[in-house]
Amino acid sequence: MTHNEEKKSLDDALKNLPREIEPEKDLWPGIEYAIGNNRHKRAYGLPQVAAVLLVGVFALSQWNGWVAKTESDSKYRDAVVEVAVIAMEQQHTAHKEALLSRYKDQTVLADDWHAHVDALTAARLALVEALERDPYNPYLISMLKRTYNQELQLIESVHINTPTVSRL
Amino acid sequence: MYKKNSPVIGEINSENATGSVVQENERKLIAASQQRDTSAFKRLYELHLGRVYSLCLRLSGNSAEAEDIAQEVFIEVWDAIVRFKGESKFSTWLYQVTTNIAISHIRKRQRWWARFNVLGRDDEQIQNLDAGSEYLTELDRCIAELPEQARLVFVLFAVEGYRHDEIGRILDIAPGTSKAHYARARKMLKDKFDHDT
Repeated sequence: MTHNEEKKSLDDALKNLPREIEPEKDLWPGIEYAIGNNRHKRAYGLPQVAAVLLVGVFALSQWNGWVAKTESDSKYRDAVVEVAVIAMEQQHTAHKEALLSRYKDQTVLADDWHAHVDALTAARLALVEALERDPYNPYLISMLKRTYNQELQLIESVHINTPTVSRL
Repeated sequence: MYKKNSPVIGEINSENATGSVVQENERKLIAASQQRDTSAFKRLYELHLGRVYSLCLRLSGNSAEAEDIAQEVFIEVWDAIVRFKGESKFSTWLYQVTTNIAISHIRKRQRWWARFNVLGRDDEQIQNLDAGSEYLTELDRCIAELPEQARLVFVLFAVEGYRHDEIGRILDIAPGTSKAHYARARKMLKDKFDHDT
């Protein structure tokens, strides 16, 4: 291929690059959650405050029956998230132990890699704790998944001749 | 996956034949979003997601990171849209916001990994963990495999149409350095792309 043909080939490919690519995941629920929780930044006027007070008084009058049902629904949803996080933790621990077992006799590139893994483990446990307090926060789940990957990549990176870790 | 016919865009295109009417619709959506109408903001999100995500994906070279950045962009835009006065096109403003957030996100990631430099991995090895995604074109895959700075400059210059002095300001480098990164990226791409195709 001549220089001009090479240039044309790359330039043609550039011209034909798609302008739009859709993500595989639906990003809107996370955005909606975040912007919904930002609403406290609004400046509320007197009518809004009065409306909120009225709703508050009404809600208070309905309190007894309402609380029992809400608590029951909320406990169920919390339990579902908790089970999902426990399953993710178990899967990660099994994956990590398998890697450590596979590499136990291999040469390592850095002596203090355990300290880095410990730091990531501490970050992971802090995220799990945060999820207990805020189980519906998609960012915490996303960060938790990323921490899993970073921990596994770190273990692989310090050992020689290692394959790539599959992403969660 | 590549966006062919978004239902939202398709709806607007079929309802309104001219670009000016589409722009008028967008202005209404922007005004409603400035009044904190989340359904209008969702329509803006649907209209621009493909472009925003593709920019995030090309700059980061990683689909999971691109999804995080795209989410962060729309959350920031929700807060900032009240200050959008319409002095430039909304899309121009949005893509500038996207570029700034993506670069900031990538720098944070670089700083995070810098803690582990003792392990002998440099940024060029760490990035682009899913450059083999089935949804990327051959050229996109080659771009994703470029070293970080070369990739950022190449995407901003060759794909997004920024000038080297603008790229210099965005990336905090001299325009000459931007040109050098571009020349390096282009040479590497020619080698990779023409070898792979």
